[in-house]
Amino acid sequence: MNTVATGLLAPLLLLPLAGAVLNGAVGRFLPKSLSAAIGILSIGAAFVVALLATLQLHGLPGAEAYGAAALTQDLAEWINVGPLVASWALHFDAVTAIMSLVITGVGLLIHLYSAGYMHDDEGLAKYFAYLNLFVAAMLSLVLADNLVLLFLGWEGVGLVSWLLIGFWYKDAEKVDAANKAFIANRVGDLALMLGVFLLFGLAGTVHIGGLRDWASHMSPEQLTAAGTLLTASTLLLFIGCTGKSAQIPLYVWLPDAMAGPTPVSALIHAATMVTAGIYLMVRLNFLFILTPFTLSVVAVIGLLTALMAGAIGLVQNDIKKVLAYSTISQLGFMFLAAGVAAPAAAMFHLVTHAFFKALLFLGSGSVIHALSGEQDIRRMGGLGQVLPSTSKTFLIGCLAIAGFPLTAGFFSKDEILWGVLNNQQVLGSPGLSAVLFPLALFAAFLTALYMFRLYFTVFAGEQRLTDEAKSHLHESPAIMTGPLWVLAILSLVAGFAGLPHFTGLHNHFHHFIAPVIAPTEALVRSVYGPESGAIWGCVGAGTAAGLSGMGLAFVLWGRGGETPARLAAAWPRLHALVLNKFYIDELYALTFGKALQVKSRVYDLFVDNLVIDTVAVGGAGWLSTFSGQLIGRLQNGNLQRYITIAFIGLAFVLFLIARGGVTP
Amino acid sequence: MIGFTSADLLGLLPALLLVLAGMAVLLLEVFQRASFPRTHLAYVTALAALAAAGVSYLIAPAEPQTLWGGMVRFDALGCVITAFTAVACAITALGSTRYLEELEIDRGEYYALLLFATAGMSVMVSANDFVVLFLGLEMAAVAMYALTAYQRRSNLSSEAGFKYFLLGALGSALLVYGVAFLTGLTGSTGYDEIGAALRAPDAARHFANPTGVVPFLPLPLVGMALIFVAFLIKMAAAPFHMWAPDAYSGAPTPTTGFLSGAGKIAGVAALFRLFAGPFATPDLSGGLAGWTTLAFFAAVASIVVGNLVALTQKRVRRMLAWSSVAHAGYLLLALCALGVKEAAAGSIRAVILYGAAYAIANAGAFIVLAAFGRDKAEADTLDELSGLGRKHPAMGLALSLFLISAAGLPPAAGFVAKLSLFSTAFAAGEGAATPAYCAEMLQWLAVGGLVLSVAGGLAYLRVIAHLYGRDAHVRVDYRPHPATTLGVAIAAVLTLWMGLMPGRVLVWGGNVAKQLLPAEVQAAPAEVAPAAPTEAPKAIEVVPLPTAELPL
Repeated sequence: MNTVATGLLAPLLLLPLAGAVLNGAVGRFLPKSLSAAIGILSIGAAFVVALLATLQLHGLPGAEAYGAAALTQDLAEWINVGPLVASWALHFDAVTAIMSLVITGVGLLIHLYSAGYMHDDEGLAKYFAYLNLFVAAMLSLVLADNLVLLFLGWEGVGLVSWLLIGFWYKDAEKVDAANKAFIANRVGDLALMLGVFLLFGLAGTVHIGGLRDWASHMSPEQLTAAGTLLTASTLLLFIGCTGKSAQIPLYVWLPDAMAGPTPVSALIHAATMVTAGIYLMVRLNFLFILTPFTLSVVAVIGLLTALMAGAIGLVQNDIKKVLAYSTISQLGFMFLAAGVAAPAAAMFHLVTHAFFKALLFLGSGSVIHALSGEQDIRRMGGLGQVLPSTSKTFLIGCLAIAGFPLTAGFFSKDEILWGVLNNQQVLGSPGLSAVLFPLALFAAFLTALYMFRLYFTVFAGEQRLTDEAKSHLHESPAIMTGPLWVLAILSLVAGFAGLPHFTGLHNHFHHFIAPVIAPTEALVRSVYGPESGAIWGCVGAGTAAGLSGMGLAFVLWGRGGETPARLAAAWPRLHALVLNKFYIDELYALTFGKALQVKSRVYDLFVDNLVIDTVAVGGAGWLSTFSGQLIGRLQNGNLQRYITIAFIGLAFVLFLIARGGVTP
Repeated sequence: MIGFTSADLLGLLPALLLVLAGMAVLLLEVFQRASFPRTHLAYVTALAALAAAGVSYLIAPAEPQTLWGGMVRFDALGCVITAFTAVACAITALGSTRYLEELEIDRGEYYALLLFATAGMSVMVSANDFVVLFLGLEMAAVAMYALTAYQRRSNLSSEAGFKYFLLGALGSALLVYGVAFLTGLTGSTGYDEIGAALRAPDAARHFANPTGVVPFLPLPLVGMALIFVAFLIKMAAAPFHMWAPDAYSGAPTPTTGFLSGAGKIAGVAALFRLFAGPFATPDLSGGLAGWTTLAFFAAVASIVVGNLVALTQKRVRRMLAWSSVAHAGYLLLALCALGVKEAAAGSIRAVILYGAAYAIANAGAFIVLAAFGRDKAEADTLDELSGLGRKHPAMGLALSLFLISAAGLPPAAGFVAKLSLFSTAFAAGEGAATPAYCAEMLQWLAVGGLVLSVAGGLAYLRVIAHLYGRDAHVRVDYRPHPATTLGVAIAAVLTLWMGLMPGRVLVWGGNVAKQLLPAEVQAAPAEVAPAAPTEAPKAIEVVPLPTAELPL
């Protein structure tokens, strides 16, 4: 492997960490503007470092070969016990480069925006300390060269997410939301841990490069032998991903996580942290392609999530909740791509989604800010003239996510659809694709529909504001609209980095990350020939789905008619079902929640109190104490006795020698 | 031996530095006015000790050298152990200032004794000859007897010193007795010569029973056993530990940490040199697997006794004294693993990290304890420590860190140290050359040791629970001093550093192993232990489509 040691990676990781430590330690003694400056500058510096590292990576020779070109930096040895070797070692390849640029780049914009959004908050320094800490943890997740360090980052982002969802900890509801997020994530983390353990048991290493060698050198016989366990381990890893990336069945925490400050929702719960699962799947794509069963599960779960969340998003009335379900739905799209062995498409959609979803969240924040905290879209409307920058950038975000031709989302979504249509045989059951593709089209249609419902309800029509909201109505300051415009431009142009191959133009994005996803590409190529003309049909279908969604949204909500209400009245049960999010929360509360409570009660009474506390702990404690006292009684301060015991010991040693236990 | 060269001097530079500093401190004491604040001497001592540590780090040779006509071995083991004992010495000196003032025993001799003891330990681990070993051992021991009895007006302290002295003398006597056997048989006191003679092809026949007096006791073995027991006494390993709790609870508090920590690792390092050197068979397998039995019993006894009795103690200092017996047991556990070829290098790395972690955290814990007290006594019952963590957050946090390290929990150094120690011992049980009975023994010991360390952990955690969980209800004075703060900070930083990034210390341990073990052992497969593979294939073969073959 063509790896080059560099000094750039440690600063990339340590700069945000330093900002976090500084703001955490002395932030509350500093003026607010200084705290904000520390937070922003440390991320800005990290962004510059990430750029430099990417340039250095790009300049390396032989970047096309599989597993090629990467920058590495070993910081220190950490765990080195027998076969378990996990160092503080950083690894920077194409995927890391993209993730780092998104994390620090979008992170920088959101830090800037936060300085405006949070300027009245008492805990500004604490907020920036957490936000910087998040960036550091997320970077350690993507920079890790082994799964142990990756897990450290994985837990780190989970912790900061918990801290930030519950940032306004005096509100019990927000604290509950934070706990819910943390607990749902713990379930996923447990599965992830088990998956890593199993993988370590199979491959004997947690080093990602080592795992890749192991996977690529496996003979068919070895693969058959490892098959079931390997499938189990990738499934467990995927369950871990469903926790962090909010997929069925563990998605329930993300809508509640909107309790945190809006910039946090944009950075953590839309652009970066929730994509960690996608990142893991792309990072370990060489493992997932060995287990077609897991891939099928991933594709099906991804698609189901996309559909379900899209449907729920259609009837939500909280602006942030709509966006939250939209995020879940888009993440579902990315998992669908990863599941049909199109990691490049998943990664590309991850990047474009980071831009337009951050934009939409920040835009919603700007709306909420302008309306003095109002989040219900039924009490908005007609804001287009009042909030010119916000409404224009929001419209761009909506166009991008709906896949309007030539916006960023258009290119990335079409690549996913094409992957679904083309890579069907990778899944192991060719018939599956026949179901997946039309449903994926429908999900794309839903996306356009619910996004434009949101846009029309908020920005078009007549104002339905409360008096209080009306009194403070104002466009946000430049420090907030600036980032909006930058993200809007990115949402418009980012797609051109990944122009589809069939147009005969160069797909820079795909080319850049090709070394990392080479095993998957090789597999796909071995099954299919070059891309065929069917792709034009695919593009056409995808575009049609998006445009028809937008059109229907305009018909239903753009003209202010009564149609939506009549539709809801026509199918009251269906409406209630979707409105109540398919009663999944209630189902979980009833099954896991109640069952857990009953089980906990029983466990507490019998197992914990009786068996553990009384018999095991109490008994062991009593036994230890008793024997301790017994030995302690020998210790009576009498020197003669001490020497006697020493001589008994010596005699025992000589006895051991005499009976031949010791042979020189 | 007629003369010596500058290389000879360089090899003993850290020890020389410590001795000269000790003399300087004594002279300063004599020629200063009575009003001269003795706390300055603490800084001088700490500076000298840290300088000695730095020097031993800098001069550590790439290849082991034999100096002073074969009497001194100058290698990584000596340098690393000297460095860590010297740092422990510096921490102790810094933490002694206010304590000595409070007890009105702040005299310069105290600091000089600390430095002399450290110099003695340095000589002891560098010895390549039993005469030098004895010299170093006594140099350290005599200074430590005096330090233990340093509170002359306190009966407890005098009694502690006297007991320590008597048992220590017994140990020295056994050592000399054992050396006498070996020298009588081989005609030399040098490690290399004795080792060569014991390993000679006809050694078994020659030494088996030269006199015929005691037909079932091979004399070389008796000599080795006596020397081994002598070290067990010095290290306070069970069942030769009986002096330790009394001595440790009578000694001035800051010194206790030094005596029990630094003293122990110097002793175990000297044992490692003996068992990897003169007492080893070429591949370590035969001889040491046998010695493993002795180390095994001592380790079991120490771990059991130390942990269990520590649980019942009400006084924190006495609890720490008893648990130091357990720590001696853990160090001996590494000695057991040294006997197995595959695990030998790992055991050395583990013992270096464990020893360093223990010596530093232990010194730190005792100087924190020394900072609290009332009426000229130290505060060390659980009642007296209640709530101190909340009243004095920095000190409480530091003490908790040291106790967590001793208990072997992350993120402190003790966690990684215990992890590598137990996994080495467990791996030793799986070694190919390990005799079957040893294998099972070692693995049970590793598992049992782990279980007992949980019991021991309870004793430490109880202290932390009192520090934070209870309200302060007894009046306890805090005696702050910048020197103490500095000492605590050094110990805390090192403990955290070794816990989070143990790589550096493990590399040192690897150097020690490379220089200490015979070449035959180096080639053992376990030693090659590559880091995670980083070489990827240049080009990937197209992965065969796995769809059909897979069972799912």
